[in-house]
Amino acid sequence: MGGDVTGGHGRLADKVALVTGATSGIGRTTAVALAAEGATVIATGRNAERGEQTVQAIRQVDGHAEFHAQDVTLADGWRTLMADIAQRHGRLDIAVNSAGAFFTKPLEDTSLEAFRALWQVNVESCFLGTKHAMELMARCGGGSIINITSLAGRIGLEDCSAYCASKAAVIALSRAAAVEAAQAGTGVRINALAPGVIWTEMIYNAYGDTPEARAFCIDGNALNLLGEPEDVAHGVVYLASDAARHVTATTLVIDGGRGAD
Amino acid sequence: MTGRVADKVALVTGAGSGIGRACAVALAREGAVVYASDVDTAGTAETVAAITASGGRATALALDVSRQADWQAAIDRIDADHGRLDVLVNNAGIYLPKTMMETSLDDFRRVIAVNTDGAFLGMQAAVGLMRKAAGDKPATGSIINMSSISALKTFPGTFPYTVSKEALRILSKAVGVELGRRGDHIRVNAVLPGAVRTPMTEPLNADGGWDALMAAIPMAAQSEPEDIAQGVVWLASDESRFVTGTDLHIDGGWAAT
Repeated sequence: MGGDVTGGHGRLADKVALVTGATSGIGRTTAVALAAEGATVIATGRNAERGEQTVQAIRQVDGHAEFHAQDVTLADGWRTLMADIAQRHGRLDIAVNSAGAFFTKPLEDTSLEAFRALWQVNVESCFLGTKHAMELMARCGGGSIINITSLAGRIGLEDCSAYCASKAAVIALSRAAAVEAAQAGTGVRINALAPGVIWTEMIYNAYGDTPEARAFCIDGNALNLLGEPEDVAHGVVYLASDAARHVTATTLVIDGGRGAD
Repeated sequence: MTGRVADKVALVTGAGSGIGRACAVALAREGAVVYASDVDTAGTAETVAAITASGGRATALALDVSRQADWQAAIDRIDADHGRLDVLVNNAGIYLPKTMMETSLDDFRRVIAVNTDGAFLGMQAAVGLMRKAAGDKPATGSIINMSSISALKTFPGTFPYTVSKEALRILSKAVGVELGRRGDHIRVNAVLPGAVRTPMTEPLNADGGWDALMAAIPMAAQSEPEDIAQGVVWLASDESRFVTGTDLHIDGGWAAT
């Protein structure tokens, strides 16, 4: 296990947090971690049944959560969601754009349609999420936006051109938006978090839930560890908390040393 | 003892003032047993007094990080006391406001000796004891090297400092990969503070450089030593067990521009 995220030290007490892609993997574990630290969590995703499972997991650690069905690629949905959060919670302190997709395919076999579809889910979602969260947070005096990107946005990964391009775009978008938000004095911090290979459904759906796939995930990192969603969630908690009040426009890499290798 | 680094044994260099003192205090607050070292023994006495006054555990050590013999004595002492070392914060550093043309070879060597050699010697001296601490458990040892945004952003008149801090940043990656691959379960990361007001950076203030710095930083705000210490606590704790070879920027967005 990548360490317990359910302990909590009250580091996010009274904060309101939005987590997209909270129906599985990094998003779900992050939602639990934020709630365990005291935040009220709005968990979003397309699958209501799985969203409710996330809410249940949060209630089990005595956290506060609600599920909101959302397709992160739709601008109208973002407007509705923000209006709803503003009305019912009066504020938004943390937004974690975790929704994303992945496929592995040689560049020559990647269609323009497939490239665009991935771009929409990985990049446009962060564009919309950052834009709308930034606006609401600025009205509330500030906040922390964390865009989950990938080490793939910083290095070349075989048969992953579309994914690498989309994740590099998220890093650039986060950095530029962060400078804009800081210079405008909004109090909104924006950071990218770049995990290395983390053992989630997204990975084992693509590579298979096999010992070979696990070995592939472990092999590439210097620590010889299987990266787990908890490892990312701990980083999100740090970036979300006031402990990181001067951390903005950075990319936090959590990859077992793979990128430094 | 509870806390995010409960019962870890930590050595912080340059702990007599500024960022080092804040790191020592923060680690102790989160439950660590802290060794606060510095050449400034009056400073470490104050740091230790502050920690023990609030119920923390700390010991002062006189340590000139540029001297290999000092390092060996410090590590031997910690080994004798606890038989383990979990966290090493290589924070000791000096600043010299000089351009390249103003920097003599002696100046250059003096800054490198403390800022870069100091961390190199510290890691060499500490790894044996840290490996003992990690044992067969996954990744419990954590080395944190205090680099600087100066490693990435050149700022006029900080030539030897900039070079020393970039070397320290790269050194952290190289050692992180090396120790990881050896299976030592020791992580190595660099922290890159931006503009932090400490005794070390006072010379910048004297010549009006501070205002120029603020203008260059998107958040337009100076960071406090505590901001850096918070990042150090995260890297020292098991929360970051999958983090090695990474740069943590705590700079109000400075490096991004």
